[in-house]
Amino acid sequence: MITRIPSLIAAIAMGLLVAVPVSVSANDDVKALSADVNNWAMWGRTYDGARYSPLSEINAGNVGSLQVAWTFSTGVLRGHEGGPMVIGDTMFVHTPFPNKVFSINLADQTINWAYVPVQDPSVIPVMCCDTVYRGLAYAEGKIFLQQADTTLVALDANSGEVIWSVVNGDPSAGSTNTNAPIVVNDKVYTGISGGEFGVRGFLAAYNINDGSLVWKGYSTGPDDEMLIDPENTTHMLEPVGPNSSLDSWEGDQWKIGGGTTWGWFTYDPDLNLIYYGTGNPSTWNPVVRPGDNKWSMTIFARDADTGMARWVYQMTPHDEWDYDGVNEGILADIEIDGVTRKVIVHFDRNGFGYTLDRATGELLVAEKYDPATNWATHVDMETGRPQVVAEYSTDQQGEDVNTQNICPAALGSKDQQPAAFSPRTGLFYVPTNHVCMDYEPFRVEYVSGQPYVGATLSMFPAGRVTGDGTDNLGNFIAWDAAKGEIVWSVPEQFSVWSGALATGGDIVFYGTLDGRLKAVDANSGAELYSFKTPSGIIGNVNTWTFEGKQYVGVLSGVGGWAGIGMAAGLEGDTDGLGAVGAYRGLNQHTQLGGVLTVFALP
Amino acid sequence: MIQKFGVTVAGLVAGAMIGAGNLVVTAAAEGAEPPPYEGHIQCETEGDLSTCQIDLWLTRGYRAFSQCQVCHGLTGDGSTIGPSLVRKLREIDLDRFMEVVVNGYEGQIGVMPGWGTNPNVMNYIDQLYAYLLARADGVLPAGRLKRYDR
Ligand code: HEC
Repeated sequence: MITRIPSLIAAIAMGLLVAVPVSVSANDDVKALSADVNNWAMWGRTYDGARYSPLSEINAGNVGSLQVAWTFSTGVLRGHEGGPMVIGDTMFVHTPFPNKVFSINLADQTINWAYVPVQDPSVIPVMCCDTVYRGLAYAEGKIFLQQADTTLVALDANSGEVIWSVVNGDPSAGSTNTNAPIVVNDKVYTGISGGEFGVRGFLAAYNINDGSLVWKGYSTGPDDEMLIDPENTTHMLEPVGPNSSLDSWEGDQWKIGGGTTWGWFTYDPDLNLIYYGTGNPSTWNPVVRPGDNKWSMTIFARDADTGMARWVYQMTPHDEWDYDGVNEGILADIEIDGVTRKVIVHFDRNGFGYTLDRATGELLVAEKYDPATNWATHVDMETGRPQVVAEYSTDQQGEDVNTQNICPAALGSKDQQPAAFSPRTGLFYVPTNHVCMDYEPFRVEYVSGQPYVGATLSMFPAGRVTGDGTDNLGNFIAWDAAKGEIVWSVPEQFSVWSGALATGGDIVFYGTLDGRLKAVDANSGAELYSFKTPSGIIGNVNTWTFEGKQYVGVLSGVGGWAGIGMAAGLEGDTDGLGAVGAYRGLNQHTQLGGVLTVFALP
Repeated sequence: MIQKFGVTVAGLVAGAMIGAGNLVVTAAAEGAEPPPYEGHIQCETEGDLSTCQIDLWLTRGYRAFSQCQVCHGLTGDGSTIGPSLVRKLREIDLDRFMEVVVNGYEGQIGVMPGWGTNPNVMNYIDQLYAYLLARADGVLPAGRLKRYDR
């Protein structure tokens, strides 16, 4: 359904959009738009996913006097992930299910148009962890909306009219979508969710002009369906060889084996490679799926034109803890041992921060970015394999055994909330969870379209395992990806589930689950600003300019998996933590409801 | 029902106390059916829930409950997605429970899926109900419990 707007406002908005130079290919268009620091034209601002803006009007010296400039209610209650997209004088805001899209005129904050897709509510219970949606993509006058029911829609950015739509999966078989698409050249890329329903993951490329499928590369299965070339696709610099996936599963389990692709995508225009991670193998009971379960839990580097996999790297072979590998891979050029390397940096759910050569997939660094991580001692740099500790192996402990005090919890040391990289400090800023778990796998039957979990778990603050007397559930850290070291770490009461933003003003922004937008000094982590928004923040902080003035915006609206674990307070509040143990549940701090809050200097 | 935002822990414990109190009364009532979890729980120290253990039958209920955790919270005390089952089980009867779990429904809060065709829930529906009722009656603590019949 399209809500029409007064044509005058539409005309103004259009005029402003047209002011952006029209270019020959979407690649150039998107590149030009994202090169313009006044815009925030894709989820990471730029293809590298750095979530860095050179803007410096708001800086360490004055951020303390930041004020709310305006706010906007989305009218949707569920968890709000992702952030606002700004192109020229128009902002595009997305929501969780029903996946509304608003085009907002920045001149007067009126709504140019709103698009509200009609979706069958039966898709809601098929979404494992709330009806979140992480955002839109833009190219050549089109907005790309990836609906929960898997429909990928191209909207006319000026009018909100549907140009084309295509169905990307079958919700009745458990497929849904939560990811933000990206556009490279004439293709829009999207993944699939549903690992908890036995969905087989893939990355798909659709033509931006008509929605036709160009290629689809699965995470698991036969080489041709994965777009893997046994001789030329490498893992740890060696060819993967034939049937690399099939040989790592027992029987046909790979067909319902997960490896879904619901995270963020990045792209290197020079190498023409697109990067993303695959999720957990299903079920959560590792005993029933012996083998490495390739290529779940894997970073893929694929040729953007053909989809052929250049290299893969599996972080967690034979997952036993639900450590999805979907987190973003940030592309940066950093100095390692005196040499500038083109790297991809990935903070995995499994608690290790990885630095790889992004051209070859060579593993350069793999270190714990949460010191509580205990399921593996280290990553063997020769084989790339984590050295699993038997005590925390839910497979070795076995079915119907409660494996206790595993760190991190299934939420990971970091979940989808994307990190940021500042080329000025050379540091990565990472929103993290500091939560551990007990995990008991048991046998379940697979039913198409039904959840396929196969483990019971409980979660608690990592301090209960480390015994250091802390009870914080999150940390916001600065990370040196060349050395694999934490530079500074700010404890947060709750998991930090919001995407970070680093700026040329040498400040870093992030949101907290209890609803605060915070700005910290990029060099020291010292808090410079804090403001309580209407609800808990699981969205990404973005920045742009309008009429020469810098703005910072974030969606609040608690939910997502963060809300599942913590809304009612984690269990175990009473034991193990002594006097500080009575930490309070999130529902004392915040309630549901989506609101965009926009900040500026007075 | 009035929603209180007192300290969660205190709220739970208080709830548990009231539940336990009711239980004694119910059990004492003439001709009352014993609660379905009776005979499946053993506590070393009366009144100290942390000393309670359960049998395999009730463990199956806890496992079936793992299908509900993503929406009703890890402990069943509710989340940003679904209501507290601990509270709900005090409000609804077995018929209503069966109706919503088998068929699902769309309500004011959101969509409750139906589980009628899911053997991981339906094969253990009695155990699941007994487990949740035990939580609601305050005779079992949140989280995983040790088995006494292992
Ligand atoms: C996908 C999320 C989801 C899952 C999984 C889920 N529920 Fe629900 N459930 C809900 C929501 C949302 C409601 C509230 C619906 C409303 O009233 O708007 C609800 C309501 C209920 C109610 C209250 C019924 C009433 O009359 O008020 C019960 C009982 C219940 N669920 C039991 C279960 C059980 C048992 C399981 C596991 C087998 C389960 N649910 C799994 C989302 C879920």
